[in-house]
Amino acid sequence: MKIDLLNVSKNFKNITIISDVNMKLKKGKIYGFAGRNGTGKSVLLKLICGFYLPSSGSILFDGINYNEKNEFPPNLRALIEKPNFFPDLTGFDNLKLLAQIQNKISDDEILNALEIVNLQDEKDKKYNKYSLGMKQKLGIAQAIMENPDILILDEPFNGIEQSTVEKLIDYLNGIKKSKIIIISTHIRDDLDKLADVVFKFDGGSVVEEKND
Amino acid sequence: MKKKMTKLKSEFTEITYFFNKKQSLLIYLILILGVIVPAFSGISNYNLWYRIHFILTNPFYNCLFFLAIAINMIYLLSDFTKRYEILCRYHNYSQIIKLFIKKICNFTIYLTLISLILVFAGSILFCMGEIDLIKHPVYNLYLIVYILFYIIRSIVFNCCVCSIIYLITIILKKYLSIILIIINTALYLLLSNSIEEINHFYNLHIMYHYYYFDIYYNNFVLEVICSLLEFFILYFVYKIIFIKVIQRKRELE
Repeated sequence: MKIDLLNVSKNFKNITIISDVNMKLKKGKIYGFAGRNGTGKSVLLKLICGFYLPSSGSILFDGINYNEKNEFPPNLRALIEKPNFFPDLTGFDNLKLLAQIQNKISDDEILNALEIVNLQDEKDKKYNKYSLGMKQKLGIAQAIMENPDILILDEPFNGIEQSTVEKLIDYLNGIKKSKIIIISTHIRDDLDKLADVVFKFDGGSVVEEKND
Repeated sequence: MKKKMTKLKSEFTEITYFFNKKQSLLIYLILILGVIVPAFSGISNYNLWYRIHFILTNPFYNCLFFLAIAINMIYLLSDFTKRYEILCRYHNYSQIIKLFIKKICNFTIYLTLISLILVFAGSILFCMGEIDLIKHPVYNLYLIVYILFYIIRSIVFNCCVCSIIYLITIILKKYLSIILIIINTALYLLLSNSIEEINHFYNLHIMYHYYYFDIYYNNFVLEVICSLLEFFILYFVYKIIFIKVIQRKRELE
């Protein structure tokens, strides 16, 4: 599995958000997107997910341009912005609803995802009783529960306590062998611990900074 | 069976979640206004079924009802196009469009039911206890049977029309879509002045708005046939636009 971004640009009206970005993302590495807020990290993540179309350039998944076929990249899961869970359902039921869309995992796998994010004890609590950090954990759980080939996490560690962040870092390092993992954050320390390659976003352009 | 129940439960949860939001208050207010105005408009007949029929076929009620479902559709789409955790679980654009259309139909049915409860409540309030079953003024059947047919037809047409409008809004620019919704809503009032009797199916009205007015056909069977033909026309239009839309490359927001 590899993702190639070839001269990708994105404009909204006449404002350029992403300009001529080239990237090669391969299986087995964790990629970090670093940069201040508003530098286009989330836009590029949405472009990779297929929610936005590039104004120019192309994004290829194993050589296939899914945008041209009006399809979305297969087996990709993402945590982008704040997920919209149902407030009156429990954390577990919210995940179950999402899992039912593709119907390929069991309750045990959902519970396992909740355990990874340290939310197993609150699984039966209603979502509207969750704290900000717990909501974020549930967002991560929905992204990882179906064991995707491509995992995209936008600002995943916001509001989460350090012990869970460390557990998640270990988990992501453990699963990266068979996946492409992209993590975007404006907190550089998180990426230094986690990412194999960091792309720095600034003024629409992207520079590859670190390559372990 | 258990799976079906869970699915139904999840869809109901979604609907109640959405209609508990503050923004839905405007929708409820529009629906209430749509029922109150014709209910107070001095109908001489106090019979419950007559009053229900009168409100349901009232152009003002239908105009406001459509406005409510149009506003609801806009709210719904602005919410769902940002639900990335759901969207990334679908494989292609066509599946997502189908998902949105399904949601629009679910919510349209829900709003139709809410609106019917309001119509029943408004009619009971002013019927002075006159609840005897009466005959339809033209057809040889009870008015309650005609009302039932009218409700089913309205639900089907509402779902078709909302789906078509949603697909058109994908093709058109935002401001053009709003103009289209306003014109379409206003047509409920404008077309109500040009009603005549229908005595053959080739006189059928292409504009679906006419099926919400109190138009008399030569007989009930003719009305059913015309309604079926109109349904096929709407479905054909829906299918054509759907094919056009899924061939287009476009963003979700």
